[in-house]
Amino acid sequence: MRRSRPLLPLLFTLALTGAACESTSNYEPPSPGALPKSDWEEKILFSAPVKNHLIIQEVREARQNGLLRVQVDLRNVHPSETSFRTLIEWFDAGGFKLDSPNDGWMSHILQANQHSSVGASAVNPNAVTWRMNVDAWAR
Amino acid sequence: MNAKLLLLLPLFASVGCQSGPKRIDPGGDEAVVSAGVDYNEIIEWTDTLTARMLTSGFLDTNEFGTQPVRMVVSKIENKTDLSQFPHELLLSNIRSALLESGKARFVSTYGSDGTDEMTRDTQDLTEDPLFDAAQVPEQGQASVARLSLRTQVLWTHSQGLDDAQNTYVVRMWVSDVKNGEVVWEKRSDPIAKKFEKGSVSW
Repeated sequence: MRRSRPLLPLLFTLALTGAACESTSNYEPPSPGALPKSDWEEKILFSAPVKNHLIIQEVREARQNGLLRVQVDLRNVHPSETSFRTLIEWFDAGGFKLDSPNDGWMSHILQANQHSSVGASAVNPNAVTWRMNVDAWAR
Repeated sequence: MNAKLLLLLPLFASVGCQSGPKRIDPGGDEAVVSAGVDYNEIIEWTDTLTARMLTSGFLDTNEFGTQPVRMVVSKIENKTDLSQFPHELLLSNIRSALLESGKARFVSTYGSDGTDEMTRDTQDLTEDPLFDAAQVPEQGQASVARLSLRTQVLWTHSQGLDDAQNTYVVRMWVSDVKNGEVVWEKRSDPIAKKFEKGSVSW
């Protein structure tokens, strides 16, 4: 009986660790209308410093007025403010990157547990797919 | 004397170690952050405003003619504390993005940005015996813009006891020159800079 007592704190710690790992998996199940994870998981690239700070809640994609539009909903799961930047690149049907005069990083600040929708619209009607880079940003 | 030279050695060494200019990512952590508007922030503005203009749908209604709709850059007002605000950078990015979309095309014969006198100058060549008048385009072919893009760069300044804040925003609106009605109007997201009073030279 005495031998089993040290196992309880250990099991409790393991349970907590498992929960923490789950909450930083960068993904939450999508709501209706959002893309399934398999459609975007290779398109969104997190750098190591922000990987455990942000999770993706859902991704939407639509062609509006002939132009491809993307919206990525993120949540800061870090206990403090997270500043990060995003870069969305657009590609044509042949896989060639389409240059845009507005190519550049967009800066964002999210407080703890705050949500944000990062959206962008391709300016070139030939855009058929995209890639988003997410990087840490120190102000 | 030698002792004095020894004392100066660290100074020489530090001067020698100073690095010269180096190329950096304009939107990265090494970029200089001013109390005004920086390069990457102008790119953020143009990206946001272009997306808002293109997704609003007003260029897709055929109300202003078939695409590409002819546009002209109207007055650009700098209502900030920045005397050298690079409005050409702001406007050129928006113009080229709209051109790339195929939905709009700007005229360069008149307006407040990106004008080119060569269309008018080419007409003047008709009377010049140096040139073959048959190669000069016929008169009356220059395009008249149907839509006008007007811009204001706005600024608010706030002061606390120790800190101050500059907030900048771009306001844009598009008018139908046929009747003067505003057919689209949006603001950019604000860019706010907080700094200690006296830490910034104006």
